[in-house]
Amino acid sequence: MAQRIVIDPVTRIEGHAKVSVQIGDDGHVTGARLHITQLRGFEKFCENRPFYEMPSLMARICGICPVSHLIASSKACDAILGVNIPPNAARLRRILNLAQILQSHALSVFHLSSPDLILGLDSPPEKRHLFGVAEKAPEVARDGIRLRQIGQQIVELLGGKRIHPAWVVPGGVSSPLTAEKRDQIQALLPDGLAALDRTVDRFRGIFQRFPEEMETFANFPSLFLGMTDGAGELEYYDGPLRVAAADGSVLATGLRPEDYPKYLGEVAENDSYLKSAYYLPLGYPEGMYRVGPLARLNLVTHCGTPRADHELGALRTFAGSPLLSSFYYHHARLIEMLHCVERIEQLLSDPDVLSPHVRAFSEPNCEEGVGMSEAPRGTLLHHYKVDRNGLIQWANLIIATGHNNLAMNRGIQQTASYFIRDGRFSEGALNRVEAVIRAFDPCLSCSTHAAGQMPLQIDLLGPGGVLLDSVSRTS
Amino acid sequence: MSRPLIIGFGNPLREDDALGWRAAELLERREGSSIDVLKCHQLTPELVDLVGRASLVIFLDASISQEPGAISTRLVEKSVPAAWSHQLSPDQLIGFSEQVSGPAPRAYVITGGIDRMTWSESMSGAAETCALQIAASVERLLRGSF
Repeated sequence: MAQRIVIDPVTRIEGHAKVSVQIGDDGHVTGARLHITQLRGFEKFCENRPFYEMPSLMARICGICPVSHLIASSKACDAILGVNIPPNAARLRRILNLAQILQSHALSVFHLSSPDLILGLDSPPEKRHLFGVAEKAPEVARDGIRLRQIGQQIVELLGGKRIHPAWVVPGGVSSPLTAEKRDQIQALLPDGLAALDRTVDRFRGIFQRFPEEMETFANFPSLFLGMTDGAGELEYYDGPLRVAAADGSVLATGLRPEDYPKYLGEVAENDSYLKSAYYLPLGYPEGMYRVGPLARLNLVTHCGTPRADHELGALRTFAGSPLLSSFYYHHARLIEMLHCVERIEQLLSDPDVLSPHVRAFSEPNCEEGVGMSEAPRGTLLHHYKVDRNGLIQWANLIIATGHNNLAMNRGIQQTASYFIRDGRFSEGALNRVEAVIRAFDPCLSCSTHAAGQMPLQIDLLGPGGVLLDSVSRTS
Repeated sequence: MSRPLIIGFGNPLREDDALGWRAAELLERREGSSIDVLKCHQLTPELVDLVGRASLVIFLDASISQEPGAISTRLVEKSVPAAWSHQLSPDQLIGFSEQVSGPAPRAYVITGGIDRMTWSESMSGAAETCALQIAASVERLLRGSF
C-alpha cells in the first residue's frame, strides 16, 4: 500500500526543513522532496534603507556565516560607490573570509556530521551528537572544538566580534590590522595546522568505512559552479565564475558576477520556501549544478597551498576527478580547512598587511551593484538597486543552499531509493536521508529570504496518504 | 599559570538580562589583573578550552525564577548533555569540559533575580544594585571567605 514518510524536522542542519518520501504500492520510493519550512524576509524589509547599512543588515541573515554576507554585501556596495578598494582592504577581507570558512567547516564536520561518521549512521539517535562523539573519541571533539575556536578567534581579532562584526564596510574595512593582532593571529595557526593534520589522517580512514554512502549520497552527474582565480587555483574572495560539466570539461569560464542574470535562473517550487537555481543555458531542471567545497575542488587544478594540495592529490587518487558523490563534501571541507589556515599564514606574512590604507571613500556613483564571494557553502551573490539618494529600491540574494537545491532534492531521492526498499525502512535509513542533506551543509536561514512572492501549497492528507484537500497560492 | 575565570552571560540587549555581563564588567575593572573575564550571550562548546585551563570558574547569570534582587550561589554539578543544542548550562559545560579535556575545575553559579527583560541596552536601578552585590559575592569567593 502506498505510504508517505515524513522526516520532520531534519536535524543537525542550520535552519528548519522537512523531508517527505513517497512510497508506491510496490514498496519502492516513487518520490522524495526537501521542503524548507522557514521564511525570512530580508530582500523586502531592507527596501528604503540607506545602502551603507546593508552589510550590517545582511549579516543578520545568519549567525554562522555573517562574514560571508558582510563581504558579498560590501562588494555590492563597493560597486554602488564605484570604487576600487585599497589592496590591503581586499587582503584583510580575504583573511576574514578564510577564518569564517574555517570555523563554519569545523562546525559542519565536527558538530553536525561527525556523530554520523564517528558513531555510525545506525548508532542510537539519542547518542548521535557532539557529546556522544566526545564520549567515544574525545580527541576528535577536542580538535573540532579547537579548530572552530581558532576560526572564531581570528574573526574576533579582526572584526571585533565573533558574530556579526561590523568591520567590513562599503569601500574596504573600518580599521587597519595592528602588529599586535597580526602576531596574535599568527600564534594560533600552528595549533590549527597540527589539529588539521591529525584530523585529516583520522578521517581519511573513517570515510572509507562508508562505501555504500559514497555510492548513493547524491552521486550523479551534474554541473559544478564556483569562483576561480582565472588560472585554476582556489579563490574565495574575487574572481570570475567557472562552470564545469560532470566529465570535468569547462562549459563556461570568465563569467562576470554582474552578468549573472544571463547565466543563472531561479524557480520557485510549490512545496518549499527555498528557490532552486539552475544554469540558464541548459534550462530547468537540466541546468542543475552544485556549489561549495566539492564543486570548488572540481573546478580547480590545485589549491595553491602545500598541505591542501597534497590532500587533494590523495583524494583524487582514491576517488578520481571530478568527484561526483556528495559524500566527498566532507573530505573537501577538510582540504579547504587546511587551505584556509595555510592561506591566512601566507597573507599575514605580506609586509603590506599592516598598511593603514584600508578604505576608499565616495558618494554613490552607480545605481546598481552586484557583489559575489565564496561562502563556506558555496557561491554567494548580493544584488542591489538604489535611488539617487542611495536608498535601496530592490535587492536580490542568491545563496549557496539555493544553488544546491535541485541537487539536494535529487540526492535525497537517490538515497531514499537505495536505503528504503520493499516499503521497509529502519531509523538508520531515515538518518541517511538526513545525512545526505547534511553533506551539503545547507544553511536555510541564509537561503530563504524573499517575502510576498513565494507560492505556497498546503496538502491535507488523510490516513493512508489520501489527499483530502489542497490549498494553493501562486504568488 | 591558571587563574580564576569569570563568565558573565545573557543578552545585553534585553534590559536586566545583562546582569551577568554587568557584574563581570565590574569585576574586570576591580580584579582584572588577577582573573580572566569573559562576557558572552550563551555558553557554547567552544568554551571548554578556557574552562579547562582555569583554576576556578564562576558563572554569573540573571534568573527570572528568583525574586528580583535575590542572589543565589551554588556549586556546579557536572552533567553530560543528553542532546545537542545551541547552548549549554553551566553544569553541562563543566561536564563536557571534563569529558573532552580531563578533570574540570571547581565551579560556582551565581544568579541574581530579575523581572524586566524588555528591549533595552540599559538595566534597571535594581539590577544595577544586584550586579554590585553579585560582584561583591564573587570577590568573597575569590578570597575564600564566602
